[in-house]
Amino acid sequence: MNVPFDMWGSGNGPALRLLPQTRMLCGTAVFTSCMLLPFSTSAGTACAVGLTALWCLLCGMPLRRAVLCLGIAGALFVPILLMTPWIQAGDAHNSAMAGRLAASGTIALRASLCLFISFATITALPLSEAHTAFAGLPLPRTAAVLLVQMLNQTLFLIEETGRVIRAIRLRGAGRGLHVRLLFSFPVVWMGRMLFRAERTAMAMTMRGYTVRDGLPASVSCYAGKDILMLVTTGCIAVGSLVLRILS
Amino acid sequence: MTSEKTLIFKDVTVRYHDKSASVLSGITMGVSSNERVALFGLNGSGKTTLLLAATGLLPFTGRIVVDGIELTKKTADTVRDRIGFLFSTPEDQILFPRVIDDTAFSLTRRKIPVKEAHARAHDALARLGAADLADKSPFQLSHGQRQRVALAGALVAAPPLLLLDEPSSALDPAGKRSLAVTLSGINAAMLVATHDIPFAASVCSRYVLLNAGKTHSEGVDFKKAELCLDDSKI
Repeated sequence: MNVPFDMWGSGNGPALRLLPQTRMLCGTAVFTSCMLLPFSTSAGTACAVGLTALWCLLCGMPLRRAVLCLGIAGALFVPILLMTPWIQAGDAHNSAMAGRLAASGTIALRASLCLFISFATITALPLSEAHTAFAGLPLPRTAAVLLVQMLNQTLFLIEETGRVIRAIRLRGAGRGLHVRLLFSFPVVWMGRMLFRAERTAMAMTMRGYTVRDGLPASVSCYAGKDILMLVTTGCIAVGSLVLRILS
Repeated sequence: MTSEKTLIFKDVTVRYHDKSASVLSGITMGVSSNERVALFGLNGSGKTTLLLAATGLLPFTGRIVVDGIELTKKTADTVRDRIGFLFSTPEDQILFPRVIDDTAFSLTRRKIPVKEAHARAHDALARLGAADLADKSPFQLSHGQRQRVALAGALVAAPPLLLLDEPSSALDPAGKRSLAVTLSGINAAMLVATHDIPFAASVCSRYVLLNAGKTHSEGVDFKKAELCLDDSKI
């Protein structure tokens, strides 16, 4: 078992009592708010950090997932700070370097917070409920079926890719970087993916899988707590947009 | 030969492309209703191809009749509704992120109420010792568990014909024994492609041995088939 699969549904916060589609929509609303909130003021920054922390708590994001997320955010977004000298900052009130540092810091912080929100939402959404969540979203059926299959097949591909990588490592590519093996990876991987795609298409035909039948027939109705949560996060998103326009 | 047979191949030849060499040539065989037939052969002998041809997923010449319906482009969907198919790699046929939804799919798409479909899917999983997996995601399962889930999905609609490609390949000895007992208790015609001769002998009443895309031999003495395959006398 590996991280991409363990992560899903590993949380245990109160958000798990909501419908899967509510969790997904609320996560999207919180993500959007974080993208919109103006970081030019300390209040805006504090709001974004607070909102992210609150969402992580509601999802019951386990501490080790939070640490992992912090590590990934550090690896991905701290290097943005190294680009500070080349960033164009339009703030005339700050000195040139301080303005650039604020701009790069804002990018890194906003991206990190968005990553935390995404991870928290994933921890509140077990894989087995993913298709229910997509089925319950206000999306055209075809789009929902496509999203379900994209998620399903992507996870199988991640698993398959992991197997190919382990095989390549076992055969010596890890030590001494055997260039031939590394170059063979895309070829081997692509071949397997094509084979899998062909077989899955056959299985879909064989099992009579169509857009009409690709989602559960019945979707649970929103309860009061779901509506309350959707309205709250929706208002936060709208409020963030207003603050953005006013700033 | 035609009346009580659930599956009939008559002079079936399969080519992947028009001008390519045939993968199967001149296959003529049948499986009676409730009969269980093992399909043996070395790697590349055409076992999987024959199973896929029976579903209309591969182009063929000759005649294939499933449950009294001649397989053509027009009847392919009807024919597939009468077949439960198990692929050798179960990941290929698991299409839903929750086991119970995947197992029940053959029923829900036939407009059977979800509650009833789920109850029957639970039964199918329980028969294969996988009832505890119902609410899990396929990504949390081992290869053997996925194979049971895929098989449950093939069995749940009680099709008159089961085409099973290596059904025991990922199972432990206890799982194999349990699967053999389960399959032996199913009222359906079965064509089981496998290399596992003891398993086949415990499930099937006779075998057909393929070699290089042709029928090599048929019989009921599984030891003879084992000797043929072991010594590569084919």
